[in-house]
Amino acid sequence: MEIKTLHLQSFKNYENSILPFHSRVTCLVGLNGAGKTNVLEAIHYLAFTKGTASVTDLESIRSKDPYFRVKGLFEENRKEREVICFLERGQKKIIKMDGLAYEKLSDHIGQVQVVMCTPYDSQIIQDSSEVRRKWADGCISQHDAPYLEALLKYQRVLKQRNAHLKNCNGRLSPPAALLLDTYDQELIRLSSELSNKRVEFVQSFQPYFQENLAALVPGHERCSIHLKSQVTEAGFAEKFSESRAKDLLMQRTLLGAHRDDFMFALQGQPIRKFGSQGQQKSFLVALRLAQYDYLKQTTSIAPVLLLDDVFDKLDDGRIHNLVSILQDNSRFGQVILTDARKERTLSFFDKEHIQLVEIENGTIRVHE
Amino acid sequence: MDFPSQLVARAVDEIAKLPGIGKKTALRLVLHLLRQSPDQTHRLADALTILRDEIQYCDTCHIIADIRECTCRTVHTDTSIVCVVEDTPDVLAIRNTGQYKGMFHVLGGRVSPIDGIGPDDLKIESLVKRIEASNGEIKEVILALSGTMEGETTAFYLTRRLDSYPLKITSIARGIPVGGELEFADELTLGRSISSRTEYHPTE
Repeated sequence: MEIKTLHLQSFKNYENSILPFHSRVTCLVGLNGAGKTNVLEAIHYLAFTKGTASVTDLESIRSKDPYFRVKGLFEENRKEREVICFLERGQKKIIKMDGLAYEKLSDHIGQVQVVMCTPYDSQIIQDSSEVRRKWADGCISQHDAPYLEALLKYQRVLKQRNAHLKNCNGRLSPPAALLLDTYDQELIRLSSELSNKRVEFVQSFQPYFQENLAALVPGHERCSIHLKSQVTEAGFAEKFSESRAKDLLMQRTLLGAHRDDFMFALQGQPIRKFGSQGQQKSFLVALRLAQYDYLKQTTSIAPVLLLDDVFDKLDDGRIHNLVSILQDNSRFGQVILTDARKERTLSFFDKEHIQLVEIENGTIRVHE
Repeated sequence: MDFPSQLVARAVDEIAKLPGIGKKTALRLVLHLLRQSPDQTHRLADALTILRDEIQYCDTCHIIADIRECTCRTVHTDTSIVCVVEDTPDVLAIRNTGQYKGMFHVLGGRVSPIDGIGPDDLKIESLVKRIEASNGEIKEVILALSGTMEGETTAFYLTRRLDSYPLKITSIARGIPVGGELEFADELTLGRSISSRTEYHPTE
């Protein structure tokens, strides 16, 4: 998958700009606040129908303008596809593929394959288990439609069961107990379906992750990913039933696939507490690169790789290793990255294989 | 919208509360009524008031009727079979197929605690009593509920509730619409119709 051009109208600090991209490595350079990240943000919109976690839709409209419009021309397997994201203040967001608007925005997910590495990725390590589950669920759903279906159903049943527990208010009449049985049976079945697939995911994801981390960090800090889940332990169904009294008291469901957590460890210890900033960053970059490999493997499409300020916090050795990974033509298709320091990018990359795009306050200058 | 007339504004507000009607449509309807003779509006208002005050639900099958004992027991139907549906329009839809001669039972919704609807809010116990009272005459219960998660929960609940009775419990088939193209069916429906495929009978 490749993005040929991107047209930004009233998006963030861009009034009306068109950007071309190199089929391999494009580097966006410019001072802080010039609008480098906004370009990646726009591509993120075209792939996932929304921005990264940091902004709301309305904040993406250039101040005082009535709407934003982002148009991307993508190419996959010699077929061109035009994707448009349009948002007018007070209206619903519209995503169009080749001129046709989607009825449901979620139908667009998976049409444009993108993997993005952002400074906000640190939330994957720092925040609650929900963020990690979302990340993993996203990876699996990209190629496994029945998984997504089970996940959506699980969330719906869970919501209904919790509402039911609340309505019960600690007391369980015979019909209420029977209804709870109904939900329990569904939740137990769906939990094991989801958690087992998550175990499989970790198994097939782990080799990619280890390989990328080894290439990035010589000597290799021993990192690992594993799933902590009560669902996959023996006797989960019994435990779930035994937990009913507590569930009634707390008025929510205490066990199930929604409590799964992906544990990220550095030499056996949680990386959240024991990893330095640089080690955490290396971990996250390896995680995204592994996600790239995993997606490429499962969908047979090479995604577009977006790297926002990826060199930040990495030492020169690790930057050097990362650049050699990215310059491997057999592994990567299109890569777009941002750097506030032009000379750093120029010193690490092979000048013939990189296109430099200078951005200054929402205007674009392409180096030939 | 700002109306010069408070009377119009009030009527528009009330009509716009109906499902599928926004303020603009409501205004169009109000202005239409004002252009017609006063009798027309009075007849409409009377019809609605009488409807609200005098409507009855059948004590047996809970269908909307003018009397509390509808024809569900006296009309010539197959009394060994009950079709369970969510609401009255479902009864009409199934009746119109001409394929079903049995009795109906209207639950009045589906189990959804999020919306505050539990099993007690539906006519489920009434169904159980009806089956008990039939002394074995009712032999089959068809679940004709919607294919949503809530519909499935309701079906599942009913199955559990009825499992101590000697009944055949069936569910309407889900799958490809008659006359529909296979390639346009969504994957979920298609998958379901493959897993619940039936033996082929050329005459059907």
